[in-house]
Amino acid sequence: MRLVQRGDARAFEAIYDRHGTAAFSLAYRIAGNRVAAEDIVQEAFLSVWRSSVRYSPERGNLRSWLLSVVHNRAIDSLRRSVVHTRRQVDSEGIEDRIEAPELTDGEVFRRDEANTVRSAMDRLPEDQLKVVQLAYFGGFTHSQIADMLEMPLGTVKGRMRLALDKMRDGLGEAVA
Amino acid sequence: MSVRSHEDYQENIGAFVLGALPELEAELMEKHLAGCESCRAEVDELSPVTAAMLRSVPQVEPPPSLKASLMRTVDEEAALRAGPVKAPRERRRWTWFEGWSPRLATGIAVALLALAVGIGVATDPFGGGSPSSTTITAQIDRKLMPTGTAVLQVSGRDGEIKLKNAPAPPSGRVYQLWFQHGKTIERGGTFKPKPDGSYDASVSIGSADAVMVTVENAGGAKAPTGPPVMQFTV
Repeated sequence: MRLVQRGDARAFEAIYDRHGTAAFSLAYRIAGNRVAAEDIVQEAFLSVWRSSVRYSPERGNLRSWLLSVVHNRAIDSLRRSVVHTRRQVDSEGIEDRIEAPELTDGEVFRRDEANTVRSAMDRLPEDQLKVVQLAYFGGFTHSQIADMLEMPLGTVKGRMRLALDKMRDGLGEAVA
Repeated sequence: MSVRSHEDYQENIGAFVLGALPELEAELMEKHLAGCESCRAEVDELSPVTAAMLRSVPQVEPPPSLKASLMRTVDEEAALRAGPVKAPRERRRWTWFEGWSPRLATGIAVALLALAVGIGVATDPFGGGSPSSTTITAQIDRKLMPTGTAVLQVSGRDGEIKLKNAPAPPSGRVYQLWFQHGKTIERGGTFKPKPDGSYDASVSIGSADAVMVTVENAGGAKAPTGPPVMQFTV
């Protein structure tokens, strides 16, 4: 990453090659369409290249940090969008899910981790899962979610917290 | 604005970690966290959960055009940063790919490969190839594409496809690119030659073993529906 910050285009390319799919997948999950996902990933990676956002190891591993940059861009993009209303935020409709035919050790680890996280999410009660998805992948604020689901704001906040606590307990070492 | 208690902030921790607080409330929370060790500890405990959620989404391959476009900008900016010593190579964006996502179609490659015949590495009849590039002449199925020539100039992981005198595809149909990686086929974009039968564009070849073109319905196909009209073996 230091090489990237010094302007090494090939180092940047290597980072894209390693993390581009995860970044695009996340952007697509949030934006819901490929064109918007491409714009989000392009903006996010260019912001990294231009050092307008800077990585430091204290912020966690590079992949997590890059994904947080993409997540922020995607949510900003959603919130700017005039069509940001009751968009469906479930994972259905993703047509081009691809399992790599041969996985490296790192990819196997990430796939296993992703499966663990998805299992933990699947175990959440539906009402808790919904508020988490609307917030984290839908970009809605707690009060928007309360309006949308026609429930008190305090209930939404409570469900968010309960869901995160359960996820943390369910994931244990996986997210330590 | 009313004064908030510690309990008010504590109640908002879940929403804060999920990024679901309105901007002003998030700013207030951040100020509170700076001075509240217990709330900060709770946030630190829950934050890895959302980080893991980011890594858990179903994987979707980005289109090759995304990298091509990104790297074009990055290479140009890197050259500018380095000064005027090395000018970036002139490239056109391969706009055919825009809005597309690749689809790997395992097994189809075998069928398509069976249609392939000899491929030649030839001198470049189109001119303009750099000394470090290789020019590959397309093997064209003359029953499907009676006129025209095509070459692929390969330079590292990038290439430039150049068509001359290519016929327009039938009405309602387009040409579509496919990239073969071993036994899988990756979907590329669609295109139509210009009225004079020419078409030039840059493509990101990556690790593809072969690049093929088929004729598909307008809008393109997820997997090839017919034999390739032309093929380049990289």
